[in-house]
Amino acid sequence: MKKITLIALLMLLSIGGYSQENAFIKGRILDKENNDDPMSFANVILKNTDVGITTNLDGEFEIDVLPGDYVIQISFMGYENIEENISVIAGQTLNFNRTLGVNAMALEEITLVEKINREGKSVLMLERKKATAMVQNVGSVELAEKGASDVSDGVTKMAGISKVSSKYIFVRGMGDRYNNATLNGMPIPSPTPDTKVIPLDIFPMGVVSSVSVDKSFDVSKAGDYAGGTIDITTKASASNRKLTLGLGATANTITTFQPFNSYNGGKTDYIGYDDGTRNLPGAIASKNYYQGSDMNDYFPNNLDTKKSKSPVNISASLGYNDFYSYDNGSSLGILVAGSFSNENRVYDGLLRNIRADNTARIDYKTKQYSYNTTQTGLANLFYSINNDNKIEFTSFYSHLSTDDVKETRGTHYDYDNQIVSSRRFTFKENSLWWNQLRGTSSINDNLTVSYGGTYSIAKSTEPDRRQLVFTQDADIENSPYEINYIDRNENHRFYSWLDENEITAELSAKYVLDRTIDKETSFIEGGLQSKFKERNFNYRQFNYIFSSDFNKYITEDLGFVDGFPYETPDAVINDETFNAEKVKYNERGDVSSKQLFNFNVHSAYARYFKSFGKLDMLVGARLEMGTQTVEYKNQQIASRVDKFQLDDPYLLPSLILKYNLNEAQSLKFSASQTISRPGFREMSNFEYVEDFAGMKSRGNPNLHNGKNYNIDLRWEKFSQKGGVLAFSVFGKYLSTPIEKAMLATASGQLQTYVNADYAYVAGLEAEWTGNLGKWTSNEHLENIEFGVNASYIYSRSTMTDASIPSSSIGGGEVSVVQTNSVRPLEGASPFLINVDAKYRFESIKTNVSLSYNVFGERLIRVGSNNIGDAYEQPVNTLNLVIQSKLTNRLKLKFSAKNILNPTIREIQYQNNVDNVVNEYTKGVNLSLSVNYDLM
Amino acid sequence: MKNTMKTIFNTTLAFVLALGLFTSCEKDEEGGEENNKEYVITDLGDGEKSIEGIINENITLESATKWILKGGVFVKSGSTLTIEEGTMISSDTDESTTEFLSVLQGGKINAVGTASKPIVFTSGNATQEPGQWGGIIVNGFGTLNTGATAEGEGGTGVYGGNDNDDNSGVMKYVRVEYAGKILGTDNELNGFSFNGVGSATVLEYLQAYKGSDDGFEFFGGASQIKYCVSTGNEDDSFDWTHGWAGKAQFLVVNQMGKGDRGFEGDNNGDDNTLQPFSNPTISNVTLIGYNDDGKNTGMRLREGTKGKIYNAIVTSFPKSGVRVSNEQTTSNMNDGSLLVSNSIIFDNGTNFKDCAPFESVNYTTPVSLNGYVGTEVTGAVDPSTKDSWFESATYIGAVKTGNDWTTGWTKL
Repeated sequence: MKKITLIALLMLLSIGGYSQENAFIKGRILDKENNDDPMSFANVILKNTDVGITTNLDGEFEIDVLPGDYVIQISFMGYENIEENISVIAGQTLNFNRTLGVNAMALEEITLVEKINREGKSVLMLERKKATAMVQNVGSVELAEKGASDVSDGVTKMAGISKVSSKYIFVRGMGDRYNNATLNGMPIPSPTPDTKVIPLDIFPMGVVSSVSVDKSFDVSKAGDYAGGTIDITTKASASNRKLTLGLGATANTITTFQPFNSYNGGKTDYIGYDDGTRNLPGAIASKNYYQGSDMNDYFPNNLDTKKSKSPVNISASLGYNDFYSYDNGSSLGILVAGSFSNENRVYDGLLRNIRADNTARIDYKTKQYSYNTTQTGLANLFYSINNDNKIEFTSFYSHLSTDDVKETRGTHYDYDNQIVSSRRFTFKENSLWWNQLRGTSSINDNLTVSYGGTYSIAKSTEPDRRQLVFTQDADIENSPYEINYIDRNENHRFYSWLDENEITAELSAKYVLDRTIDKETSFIEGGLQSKFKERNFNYRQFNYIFSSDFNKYITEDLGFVDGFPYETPDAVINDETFNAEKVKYNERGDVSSKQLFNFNVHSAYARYFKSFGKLDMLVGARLEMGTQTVEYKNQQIASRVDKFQLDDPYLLPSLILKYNLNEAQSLKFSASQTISRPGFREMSNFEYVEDFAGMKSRGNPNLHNGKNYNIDLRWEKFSQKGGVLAFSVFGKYLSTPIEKAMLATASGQLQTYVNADYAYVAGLEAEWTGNLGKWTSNEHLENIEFGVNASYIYSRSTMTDASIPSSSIGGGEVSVVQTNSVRPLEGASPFLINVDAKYRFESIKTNVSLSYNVFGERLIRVGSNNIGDAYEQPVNTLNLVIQSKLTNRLKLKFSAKNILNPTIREIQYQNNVDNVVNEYTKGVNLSLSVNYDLM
Repeated sequence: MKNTMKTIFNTTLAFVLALGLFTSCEKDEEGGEENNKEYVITDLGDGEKSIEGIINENITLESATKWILKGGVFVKSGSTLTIEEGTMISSDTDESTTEFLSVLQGGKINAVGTASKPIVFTSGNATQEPGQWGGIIVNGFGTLNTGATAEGEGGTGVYGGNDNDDNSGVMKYVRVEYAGKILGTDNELNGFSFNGVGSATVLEYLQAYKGSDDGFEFFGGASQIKYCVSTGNEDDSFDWTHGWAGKAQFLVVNQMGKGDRGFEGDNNGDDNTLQPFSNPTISNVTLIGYNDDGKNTGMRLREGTKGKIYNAIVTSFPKSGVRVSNEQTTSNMNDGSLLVSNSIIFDNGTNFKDCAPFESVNYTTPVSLNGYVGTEVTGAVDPSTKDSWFESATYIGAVKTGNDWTTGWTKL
């Protein structure tokens, strides 16, 4: 019954070439613990040779070897090992059938929920070994052991992959634009408006079976990438009924039990959902434009700060799965999982804006109190009618909330001898509900048809952001706070709404042209894919307009002799002061605030696979026709509708060659052309500021698509025990890549996106995982699993254009004023190193793992007008995870993350001076969790 | 969403039927109206007409009509907008749009009023308040230090080039009221914005009245102004940056209850040394401050600006009279490329801050002023001896008693 669970994802096992002089070992391994069902993926090793394979879905294996005497070893995680001496004779077949049982002494893999699945490392290594593409994958078991709590943590343990600000994944130095995410093989949109790839920290390891990153272009995947396609496979039920409850608690050394500022929000803020408290008041929502101080339209008075202590973070999860097999050969799997986690965080940082002469224009200290929650839900239902027809439905829900109080305090060039303070309350919700139906049907032995569709709804809201800015006389100690009434845009309430719908459909057929007994040696595959995406965005901002004598008024008339009540603004921004006409609301009018985005793309692909003995070839092409539009009313002339459209047809070729040097080693080569498209925001004329005193940013409707040319070469050697040694070298040429640039404007620094001339990326990756016992007979070392990978990435983009077409009325050219026209790609680290070590204490059923990560300095902000570019400095991260199985049902996990607690520093280089523009620490996270099988 | 779903279904169907025969979707036809009028004048009755869009031919706004600007109204390159004397132009009351008049590069304005019949741009709201519409923006081909060309605030057009002698037309006896609407952070329109405007443009007898941002702002270029009054503007009265190398004579700043700085002079805030430097020559100035919040300064010279200011009266600013900031600015002051001279700076919070007292400046003797009217001959210099563009006016201050050039056309 286990074989049914594998949904045609795995091909038949391959063994080496056929030869007359060889001898054969054939066998079948059965699972004693499971009614003697066939045992798939058991390891079969001939000791002291390179031969090591895994049993197939039916528990069978076949090895051809030179005649002689061998020691055969059969093993499976958590089961006893069988080791026997065998002798084989040329031209003859030795039958070796055994049944494996659980070794009472052996430690059962703690996090291995299903007995057979793709979560185990050995299975995935096998997939990787067999894959023609440049794929790297990692299962949830391995990731959990390495201390990853979500997919984002997980993929950054792979070679060449790094993460910027927990949101953006960089593959080989290539940022968000150059990557794609798929869930169960089909596209999944991002619930956050400014990323293309869904934030991978949405996926807790609990709902994930495995993650793979394909760094070569596969024509069956969307062509707009050059870094990697990240495919997340969700769990599917493959075992009998089980109900598991998980609970955890986490403390952070710089946050927990420390003072924590918040404000009066809704009743359900703790679970991460606004209860309607932050809705735009009805009377205002019904008007296109609001100005004034009518009593009925008042926004709630809720600008006060609440002080408390940060509690311990909690997490909870519940998972249920069941599996039914029926007499007619069909079977049904069902899995439902849900999780909740929250996190309190306090950051002390800096916000510095440094001039070219190294003096500060803006020099703020920042303090941010964040309360974040994550909710996920997964439902998976699969029905296997028979061996040839399978259908699967997956529904994934994710919800993220962040609730921030951010305070800044410091000096601003425009305020002489004053200390400027700001406080901002931000609440954001991002949600995604993604549904997928997919199936495969084997028409006959050679023809397989796959089909699938997805429908997803994403929402992103930022209701009732509130910000006030204050000044104090810097020359007088503890001088009273005054409201800053001059910058009328800064004291405000802000609302934004984003809705996105996406439908995708695909149909593909694969026809096997030729095969040997264990391997398809030639096939042809073709497919059609469509994607329709629509996004609606709108925002409204209501500025507080204070009378210029407001400060005098509250001191002299209202009796606030100590000045503006900084912590309790409601005392002076309320009905009384509105009635006295000392403050009023004034909406920031913008007819272009409502924006409609569409992205429709239709693709067709074909590929052909042919094995020429040791050489496998996969050649294919993808035709992609995309149309991307942005539409909004012109801000200046409201009767005009601005619509910008980008069309493409592209024919994207891909060639992959794999040369199997021998059973264990292969050499892979790939060459492809792909494209990169601008994101919606990058195409839109909408101007936004992410942060108080942050960089202003705006899209460029005149962007066009970039083209990428990719070439890869990789050598891989697999060892018997699931180890691998690999070296890769790659190069990319990006033609007119989309890069950030600064524009010349009257109102100061404005960041936008520009097609640069070209960029080069080149790099080396080395990767080794294995067992230290290999070289010694020390039994302790035998228990250490070790993994290390390192990447060197060189990237240079060149943008010599002095100007771009202006999108304002009248057109003309506007100057690009970058300081460095040649620089690394944004976010690309020149080096990345990951080291993992795992030690097994057999006697106490405990695993201890340590992982370490470091990245080289990476560009995070582009400078203009002789202001240098800013780089994030290398960060050393060390995590420790200890996992123990206390009883058959109860597992315990302790982790210490970010043990070194390094200072994260951003440096702006110019005139031989290293200007620190931001600096903070994250603290050490200590957490304890339990998992209990209720059923 | 219903329609979208339908579209999606139809498209899906079409796609499936096409089975790989890719048909081209509808092409977006945009901007195909090049030959036609890009503006609309609508007769609203009662002698009112509205104007909207991009003026792409020579037209005249006659004084018999009360004109209403709808949204941003642009004067395109090659076209001239003529406005008759005495014409009244007000903003539309649609609050979600920002009304302004922008003369694009290569376009011209010909707005010549008289002292008795000025041209008035004002808010169309029943209750007029600062910040109810944008203002007037003129874009020229003058030099900048932000880059060869730049975008103006609020999508008002591109400006900049290498022609400081550029001509954007004539404005005389023009009053702008209640301008300064907010468009975004650091993005507010001013009463008058002169963006890269060249010296051949004639700008005289202009008043910016009760705007919520700056009265007059200069972004680069070499525009030259005479007889200008900035009254009750809530931010700076005259503000220059990004390499303004123009000239100005007879300037009045009357903060009247609300305001920030009389002059705010910058070179470039990113890099104070960027060239061409802001380097105006200014003479005959009266800056009258007001103590609304204790923070107003008369002249704030910073971020590397150069310039020469003669015959100035700076008084009643609660913070400071003149303040110089940033290393490059101080160095300009030390080598004489930034200069305040032949002036009287008195009765301010502090008369000078972060700088040594300028030579030839009187910090002690008050000038007898009636409002902003009043001058002092002692210590004055004849600006025409410094530069022939200046009229001979050997007195300190902008408005001489008995010769009040502000009467008739300005509003107090």
